[in-house]
Order: sequence, then C-alpha cells, then structure tokens
Amino acid sequence: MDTEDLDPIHIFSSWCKQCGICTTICPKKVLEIGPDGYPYAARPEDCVLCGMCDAHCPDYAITLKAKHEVKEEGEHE
Amino acid sequence: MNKRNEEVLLQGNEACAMGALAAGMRFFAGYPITPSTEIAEFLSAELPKINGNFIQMEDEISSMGAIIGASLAGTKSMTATSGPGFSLMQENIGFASMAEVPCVVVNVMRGGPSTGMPTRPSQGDVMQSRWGTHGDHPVIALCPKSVLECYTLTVRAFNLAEKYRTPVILLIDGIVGHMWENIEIPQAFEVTDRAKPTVPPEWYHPYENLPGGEITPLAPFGQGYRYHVTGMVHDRSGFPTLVHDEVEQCLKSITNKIKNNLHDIIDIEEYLLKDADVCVVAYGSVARSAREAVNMAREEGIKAGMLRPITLWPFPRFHLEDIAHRMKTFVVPEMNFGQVYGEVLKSSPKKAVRVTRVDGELVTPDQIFSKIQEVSS
Amino acid sequence: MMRTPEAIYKYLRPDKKFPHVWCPGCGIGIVMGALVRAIENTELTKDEIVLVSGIGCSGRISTYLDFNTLHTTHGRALTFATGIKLANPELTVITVMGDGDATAIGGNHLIHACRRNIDINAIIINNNIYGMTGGQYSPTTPMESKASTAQYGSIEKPFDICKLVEACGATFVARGTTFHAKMLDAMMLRALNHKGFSVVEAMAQCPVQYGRRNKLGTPMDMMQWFKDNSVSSPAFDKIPPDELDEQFPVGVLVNKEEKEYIDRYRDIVKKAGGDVP
Repeated sequence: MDTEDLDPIHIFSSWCKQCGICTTICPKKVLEIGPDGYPYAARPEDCVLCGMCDAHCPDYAITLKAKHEVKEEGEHE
Repeated sequence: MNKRNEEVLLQGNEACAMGALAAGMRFFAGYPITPSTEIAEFLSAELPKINGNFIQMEDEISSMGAIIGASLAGTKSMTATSGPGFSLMQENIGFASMAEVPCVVVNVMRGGPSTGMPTRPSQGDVMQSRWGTHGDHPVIALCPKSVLECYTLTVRAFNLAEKYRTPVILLIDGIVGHMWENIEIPQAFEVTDRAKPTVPPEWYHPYENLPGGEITPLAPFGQGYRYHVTGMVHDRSGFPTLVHDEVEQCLKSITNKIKNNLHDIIDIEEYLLKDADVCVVAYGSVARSAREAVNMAREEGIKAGMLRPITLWPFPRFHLEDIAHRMKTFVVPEMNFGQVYGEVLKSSPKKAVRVTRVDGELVTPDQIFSKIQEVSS
Repeated sequence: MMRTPEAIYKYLRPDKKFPHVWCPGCGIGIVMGALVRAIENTELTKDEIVLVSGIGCSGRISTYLDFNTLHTTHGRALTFATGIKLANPELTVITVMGDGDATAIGGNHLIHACRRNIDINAIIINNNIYGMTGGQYSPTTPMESKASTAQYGSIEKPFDICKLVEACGATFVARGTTFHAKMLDAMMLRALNHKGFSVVEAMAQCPVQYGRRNKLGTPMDMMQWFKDNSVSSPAFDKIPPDELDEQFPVGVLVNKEEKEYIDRYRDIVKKAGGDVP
C-alpha cells in the first residue's frame, strides 16, 4: 500500500482564475497560493479527499482522486 | 370529371384556423384579443381532438416564445393576435428570424395605434410587420382578401415557413377576418413538411449554407442532433460569434434566403392590367372595392386595371417596375395613411396617388373610382 | 459519485473551450457544477435533456453544456420551455435563469408556469444583481445595498423567490447556496425526479458587481456569509420572529404531489375524443 508518491490533488492552472476559494475552503489547509498566484498542494499528505475544493471551484480546475482510484491506477495487485 | 365539394359558410378567422390544421399545425399558443379571438376559440375545441396542443398563455410575448419552443421540438406551430399583441410579439418574432425557426403569426388587423379601435378594421400594421422587430431581418407576409384565401394562404404560410425556416406573418384585415362567405374547402393542395437532416449528428451544422442556396433542415430537439440555438449572432454551429466574417455571413444568409427566392415567394393577382394605363394597387379587403372600381372605370371607357400584392413582404416591387413605364398613374387605396403607397413610390416615383381611410370603415368602390376619374381626366 | 471535473468533462461541449466567461470567484460555475452532478445521477441521456436559458451571466450556461440547448430572449426561457415540453413531453426540460431574468422581466412567466404546475425544472441563480450589464439593482437586491443604478442604496423591498413561487403554486421548491454545493446537487436531483413545476433557488455570489460595490470581501467571504446566515428549513421555522436578523432558510421548502399540467391536458384530449398516446 504505497501511495505516498501519488498526489491526489491536481490543479489545472490554465482554467484557474485565482479566486482563492479553494485555499480558504479546504478544512485541512492543504492548499496554498504559490508564488505564481496559482494554488498548489502544499500538504497533500493531509488531504482527506472531502471534495470541498473540487465542488466549490467555479472553474473546474481541481481534480481529486480517491485513494483507491489512485491505487488502482498506480498498481495492480 | 371534377367532383364538386359541398360549400360551407365560414368566417375568415375560422377558415384560417381550418387551413392551419390542414397544413399540419398541431401547436397553438395565444392570448385573447379582438378581432382574432375566434381563431383561438376554434382551435381550443379542435386541437385536442387530434391530440394537438392548445394553450392560452399569460400574454403575447409568451405565446410567441411557446410556439418557437414547440417548433424547435418539431411541431408546426402558430399564434394569432391583433395590433397591440403583435407589438408584444415583435421581440420573439425577431428571435425566430435570427434563429431561423419556422412558425406562423396571424395578425387580424384592427385600428391603431395603441388600443385604437378594437372592433374596427384597418390595414395599419403593414409596416410593423416589415420593420416591427429591431435589426435587419427577413420577413414574409401574406395578405388574404377573402374567406377562401384565409384558408389557402394559411396553408401557404406554413409551407413557406417550413421551406425557408422563417416566421411567416399572415396579415388579415379585420373585415376579412370577420367576414362570412360560402366556400368550397380545398381538397388537394401541397403541404410542405419539415425536412430531416441528411447528415449524421456529428456533421450537422444547423446554420450551414449549403451549395445552391439550399437551407439546412432544422433537426427537432431530442433526436440525437444536439445543437445550440440563440438569438445572438451565431456561426454555422449556432454558437455566438463576433468574428467579422461570421457575423456578416450570419446576417446575410438569413436575408438572402428570402431575397434570392423572390420568384417563389411573391404572389400577385392581376386584373385587367394588360392594356391598362391606370393601375390600382390594393390588398386585403380593399382589393374587393378596387376590383369594383376598376369595373366602374372600364364602363366609363377608362383603361383601369388592378395589381393585388398577395405577398405583401417581400414587396412585389419588380412587378410594379415592369409595368410602370406604361402607366399614367398608380392609385393606392388603403385603410391607413399610405403605408403601401410609400412602397409604390419607390417603384414609380411621382406617378402614384393614394386613397386613404382611417375611420374604421372600408374604402368604398366609389372613393377609388372617383380617384381613378380624377387622375385620368 | 462522479466528481465535478469528471462530470464537466462528460457534459462539456467538445467544441467549447474553457476557461468560461464568468468572473473569478463567480458562483455560477459552482451552480453549473452542481447541475451536471445532479444530471449524472439520473438515468437521462444527453439527447433527452433540453436546457433553456435566458439572458445575462446565467444565460451562458446553455452554451457550454452538451444537451439540446436554447438561449432565449431576456426573461422568456420559461415560455420557450413550455412550448418544448408540451410539444414533446418525453423531453426533460431544465431552465436556468438569473434573478432579474426570472423575477423582473420574466416574472409574469414565472408565476404562470408555477400556477400551471407544468413539469419543467427551473433553476434560478440568485446573485442579487444584474451582473452582465454592469451591476444594476434587481428585484432581489437587498434594501440599502448599492448598485450601479442605486448609488445611494436600494429603496425597493426584495422578493423572497421561494415564497413567491410557493404562493404561485410550484409543487417543489428548494433553496441552496454555493457554499452548500453538494446539497445543491442533491436538491437539483430531487427537482429533476419531481413531477410538476420545480424551482431550485441557488444563491450565488457575484463578487465583482455586487460584492465589491457593497464591500462584502472575497468570493469566499461571500460564501461564508451564506454559511453563517443559512438555517435548515425546519430549524428556521422555530426561530422566533423577533430573533430573525439576516437568516434565511435552506433546504427543500415545498414538496407536494399535484396533478401535472400535461396530464391534465391529456384528460382534455380524452374529453374531446382524441387519442392519448
């Protein structure tokens, strides 16, 4: 069960309009605004996949993958 | 051998409603207004019998919206109104022109402006039917003179609407709408049904100009052809555009489909025109008086004739220009201050006179005859 | 459950490019996300859905989604939708309107669609302002709020959209907000499954034309206000009137069964001697 190197959060910056909703709404403070103005997963290990960020992103720029999905893609047991 | 059908006594409005049913109309939305209401009343009884839809909407704006919606779902649809309601419909008539959605709008004309004279006829909406909605747009308007023509021209209105994917306006004046005549109901006539797309959905562009000026068929909603319809200037797929070439293409194509088919759309009646040097240009109920006035003039030895635009828009300008050189004068009697007179002047500057009447009464044969006498002496 | 971006990819028109037209932080995108999640949870195919919109920021939704889509004139979405639904009752008809669209210029059509109880799903995105035309006050702009045409504050009492449509006869009425994005799609799903006229009011932030002018902070601040002031409807009813400040009820507010318009019309067809399919 090695999923540490698989980041569950993907930010598609060409759709992102930097509104800042995701960084504030994340209950685990996983996201932060980077130096380029776009959000990035500063603490992906804290992500609980609650889906607050992707459901509230007005621009559909955040993709979350459930851990089992990440696992399925990453390895076949 | 022609079998003669039984004659029935019908009102103009009723004949219009019957013609619509014969043309395959199965959706009517309207709002009560004199003098058009009989059309809605008749259809509210008849449409349910054939599983058609009748709905009385909250106003004329919504009636027009509903018939466009029904047409997009694949049903031939119609509304009927009079001047004040026609004013309210202009917004969505423009939408139907722009989005190229076939439908028929009947306007039984009463005296205007504003509430005007609800129970008195007029021909005051000729120009509104041409330029009532904003922007450059195409229009087809037909004008019956009799109860029989209320029937046949309604059928034709649907045929033109389907063929050219455009709203068609039927301008019935209050006299013709409320007139009763014995007519033999036509049995055999052409009915144009909605053409189906010949290409698979992934190749379908609802606003594509096909070679040879052919018009792309309108796919009904729900049959696999998912596309976008908007009142905004759009590209061939129906999506809003501000690209100069596409904007021009969009506006030109809605206008050109009418302009390039004048021979097919324009219909006129000529009466004793061959040797005439005075031509009366009359339409609707006034054409009946005009015909009588021409007969009176002929008895006096005046070479009078009549040209009756059955298609009012596009206006039969070339027909007038063809005969203008041999006419001393055009006499244009109308139940307004000269709306068609202005169009006649464009074809024949300086050679037209008008006979106007706006008191809610028909222009009489005598009035027209005395004008013919005056210009021929 | 499918997540928003996956649902968007599934229902986004292949020839329409994102990013979309709405301003940064605009709530309409969140509402559109909720709508596609709700649709994803039905059995409906893209061909069976007609999406009708009006004019304004909300009107642009119809451009992006891969259904049979119709972008009508201002306020008239429900009139076109009525024609479509009657002509082909097999289609699922969804109208998306803004607050000005649905309750000002289209107010007459809204109340009559409610009264008829015709099976149309109306989604009203209420952002308290006319955004696209530049921030003029709408029928839902709160009293004293500023707008480009209310420079000294609005003096008109705003509509409570849910109360309005309930009074007019809508048989399913729900209110959600962009903060409650997941609740919003659950409401929309229930509205889609409801037979009769349904209204879902989605309160959405307009951070640019409304928020900035009224110093309401960031988009997230505006959503936080939704969170802080929304009360689930049973709890809301228990608040004594003198303790009510800016709170508003969210949730399903009306859900009743009443004979639907097309069913009633079918009875007329039978009475007239026609064949009901």
